[in-house]
Amino acid sequence: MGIDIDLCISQCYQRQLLSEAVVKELCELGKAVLAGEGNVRQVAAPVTVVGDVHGQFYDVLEIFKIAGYCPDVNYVFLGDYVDRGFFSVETIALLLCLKIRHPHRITLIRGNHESRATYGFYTECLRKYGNSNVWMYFTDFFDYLVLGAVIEDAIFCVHGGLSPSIHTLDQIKVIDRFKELPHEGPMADLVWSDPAPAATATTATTPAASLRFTAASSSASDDMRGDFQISPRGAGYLFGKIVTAQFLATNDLGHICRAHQLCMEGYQVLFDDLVSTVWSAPNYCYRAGNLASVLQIGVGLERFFNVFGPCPDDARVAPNRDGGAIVAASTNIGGGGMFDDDEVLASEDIVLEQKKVSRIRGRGGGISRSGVTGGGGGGLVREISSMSSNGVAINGNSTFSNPVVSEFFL
Amino acid sequence: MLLAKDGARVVAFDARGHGATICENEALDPLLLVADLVAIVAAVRRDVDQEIVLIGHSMGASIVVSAANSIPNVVAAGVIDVVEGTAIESLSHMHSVLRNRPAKFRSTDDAIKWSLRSHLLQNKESAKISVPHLLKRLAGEPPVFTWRTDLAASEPYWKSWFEGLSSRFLAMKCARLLVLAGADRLDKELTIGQMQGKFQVVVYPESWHYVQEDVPDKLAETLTEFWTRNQKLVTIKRFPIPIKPAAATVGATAPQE
Repeated sequence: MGIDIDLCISQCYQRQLLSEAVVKELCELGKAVLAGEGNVRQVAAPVTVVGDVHGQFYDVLEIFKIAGYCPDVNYVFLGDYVDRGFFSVETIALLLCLKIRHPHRITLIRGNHESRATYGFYTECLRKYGNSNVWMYFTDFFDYLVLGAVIEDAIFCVHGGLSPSIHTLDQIKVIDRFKELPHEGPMADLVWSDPAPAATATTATTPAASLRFTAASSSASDDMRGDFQISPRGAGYLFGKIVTAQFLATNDLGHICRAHQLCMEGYQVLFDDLVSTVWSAPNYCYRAGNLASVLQIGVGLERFFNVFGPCPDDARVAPNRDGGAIVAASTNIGGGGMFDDDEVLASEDIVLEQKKVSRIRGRGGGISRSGVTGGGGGGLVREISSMSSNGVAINGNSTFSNPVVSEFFL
Repeated sequence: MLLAKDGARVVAFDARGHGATICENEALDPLLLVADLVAIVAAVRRDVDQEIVLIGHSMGASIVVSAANSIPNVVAAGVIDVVEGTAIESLSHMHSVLRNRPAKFRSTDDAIKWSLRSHLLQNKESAKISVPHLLKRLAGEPPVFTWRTDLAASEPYWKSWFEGLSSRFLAMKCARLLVLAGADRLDKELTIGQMQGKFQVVVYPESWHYVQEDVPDKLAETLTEFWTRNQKLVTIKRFPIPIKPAAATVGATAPQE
């Protein structure tokens, strides 16, 4: 039994729901591909790194429009493909198909939402398929996602951050990752941790317990221990600059690129450029009013944070079976003040080295103060029917009853 | 019971205008209620060094969140099933909700049955314990029971309970927990805060609004874990992992072509 993966991909791009049987087959294929990958994948530049997308399917299409399509462009996705957005199923289905079709051109890292413990994805699967089988297939597939990647032996990519139990990449490589995310331990930390906010011992947002913890460490040998703190999230830890520098030095790396935290400006650079956060879900939950970005890494490891806003309303289709809220919510992005500096929640210590290039693409090159207006694509908004760049003919009327046997190009 | 086993002392009190508490001024003014909470904690705590965890449900959450920074040594505070945006939106329905509930009952049993039938509560055992205290018996025969707390009269304070709740929640200096029933529908401020990792969210999809009554065991577990993780003398658990894999490499890493 074969599956026409190109057909699946074209259907995914058109936001068509794949049948339950096809999803099952694709998940099996996806697991087979990932089973052969180690926990930390080695990736070569040039490559584009994408942060949380959370089921915001149209914004994923926007990312491909802006940064290029797979396989023309290599991609590393940092996780959190599902939950919160209205199209988690379509989003993960597309990425799964791309991974099967171009396994060496796309890396899929596991995020904390790729788990059986979250409810949004489950209810969406139930609503769209009438039963929970598809959810089961996908969550079984999630168990196979890798835990991290290293770009050109220099940039460590992970969804959340560091763990007090992990000092070396080798330690990550020996973890048995093929299971549900544990509540605690190294695997949980990798998907849950956050960099500690600047001047962390004295800010108001950290728990009182951490004050004692960092103050207690007096000797030099305790400095490393003292740099992890209990996380407000209830899982993972906050990791500081010292332990980050130590981890990078031990493993001969230069930088950590991660996601997991919403950045109003789409990205954040921290700890004197030791860590950066990439956030790729614009106007998160259709209400946060934030920008998003993808990190484009060149052959010489030059980094460019390509910042973008939400997909223009006229290119976005509101879900008809889901609640009607999406249409109303997405128009909030046009509200005044969305781009005001006052609303930026980035801390003062953040170094925005790439600020000069953080323009919103397709909107006249400058950051629009009047809010986002529909149709402001500047050529970037293309109709879905013409967007396939790898020569795949799009046939909207095909069915799955007679799958064409095709050979994979691997 | 779970909490008590770990050495925690649980205090739940009848606030002003509720249950057996008798005060001259029964107004549900948040300023008064916050002052009450601060005073009660000061009275029942062993000493200033004792760690305090505050938990508030619905309107009570607003009080907890406002009081947290004024009470010494609060290590953690939890909010149960209230989100500012949703709460303020539902205020316009409050009047019809109050109109639709019976003003009087012939017995506490009737009130318990009504609470279960009208889908206020799911847990029968819990309803039997909690509902009678929501009522007071009027003088005379035959027995007539009415609601102890005059919610309609508290209308001037409704908005002030919830206004600014999200920002006050995020401004608390202690560890923050948000427990939600049904689904995690957050307002804009909490959506941003949660996605920036500023607080913990626990969702009980099977529970209704009175989480502490519908799923008391699960809630107790969550609160125990929340408290113990945020205690002062907690050490970070390190899991031993071999530096180098003992046998051959686990899963070859395929270099990109």
